[in-house]
Amino acid sequence: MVEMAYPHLNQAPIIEALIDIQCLWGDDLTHDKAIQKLEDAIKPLKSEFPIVETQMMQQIAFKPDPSQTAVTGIANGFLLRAEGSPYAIQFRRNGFTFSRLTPYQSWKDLSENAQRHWKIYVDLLGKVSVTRLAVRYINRVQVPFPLSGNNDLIKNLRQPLTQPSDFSEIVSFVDQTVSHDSSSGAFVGFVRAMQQIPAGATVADVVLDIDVFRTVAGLGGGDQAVWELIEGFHDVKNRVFFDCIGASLIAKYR
Amino acid sequence: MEHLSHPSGYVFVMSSPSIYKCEFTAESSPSVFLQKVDFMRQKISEILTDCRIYNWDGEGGRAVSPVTAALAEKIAESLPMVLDRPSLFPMANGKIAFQWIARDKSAFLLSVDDRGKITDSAILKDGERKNGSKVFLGTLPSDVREPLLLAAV
Repeated sequence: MVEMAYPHLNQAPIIEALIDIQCLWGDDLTHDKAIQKLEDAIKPLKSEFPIVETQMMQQIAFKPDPSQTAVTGIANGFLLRAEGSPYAIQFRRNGFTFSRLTPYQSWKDLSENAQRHWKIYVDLLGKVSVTRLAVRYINRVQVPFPLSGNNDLIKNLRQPLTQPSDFSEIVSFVDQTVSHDSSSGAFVGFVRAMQQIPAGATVADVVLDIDVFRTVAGLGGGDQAVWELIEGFHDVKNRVFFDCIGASLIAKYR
Repeated sequence: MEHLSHPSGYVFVMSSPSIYKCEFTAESSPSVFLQKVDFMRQKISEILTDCRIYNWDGEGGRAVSPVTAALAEKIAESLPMVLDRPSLFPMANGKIAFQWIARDKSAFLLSVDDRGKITDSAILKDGERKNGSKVFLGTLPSDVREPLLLAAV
């Protein structure tokens, strides 16, 4: 795959950029023992990320009788954060996610920190078999509203969808596509969304959510091929993003 | 109003409730930012568990009711998607409150009671104060929603 050179955006409109690695553990533990192992594994990280949230697998159900209302979710892992820090880590039963929240710095910053913490995950939890890799970037792009007449911005952001007729004005949209990128073998989940904005507003937020992912087999936690694939997914993400936003938005965020 | 949660983290608001349920099956990678609705649901449940009895705070705090918790959950689903995570906490009068501090240090507070009344207040960076109250009918009123966007990421 030929790598393209894309401009670095000093004010990149990124809300969250993440690297996600899903895996199977080598040992066959019960769920409760696995969660206990995760709890032990995150202890060394608490000095750097003291805010720890348990991630639950199920929704909570409310009961009319207060005495019957209870937390019914099952713990699946932990989210680690720090006050004022743009990083967040998820240590889960089925894998690891490293996130950089706003303000985004660079791919180098994200990938190097993710690699460092992935090594901690693997070292503490033992032999793992990687099953899925992903790079996901969630962007927030601001465009003038109403949308009609802003051809440069909306033409790129809204392809191929348009308003139902020339006489109607779009006030909100959500769409999701999943496509296959033949050059990398990855799938690209692409969500475009704009919530309805207050009357009289002249700027609208459009979310561009690009999730590049692929299942893999035969890769261990220490295999360099994991990071080579992730690097390729970042390039796919760039292709999708820069094809979508057009020249005037690139200039705005440079 | 019907709220449908998608696996990617987005919440779809359907204005006309259907007897058919949509099953979303598309997979996605776990986003901390989009998990905020799940995070808020979890916090609301914890508040309900901890504060469901009168005097939960040792100072005569009024019990938080399941109705308040259910309304708070609907509000969580109705928030503008570009907002950062709020702090959630119970109030002595039995309400559940959402609080944001924006980058310019403006502060926003939104609270809900068991009658569906939402009270909002804001202290903007220039010291200006705003407050009001509305009834929550499934979506946030625009004059509540608009100032909150100052707390967007």
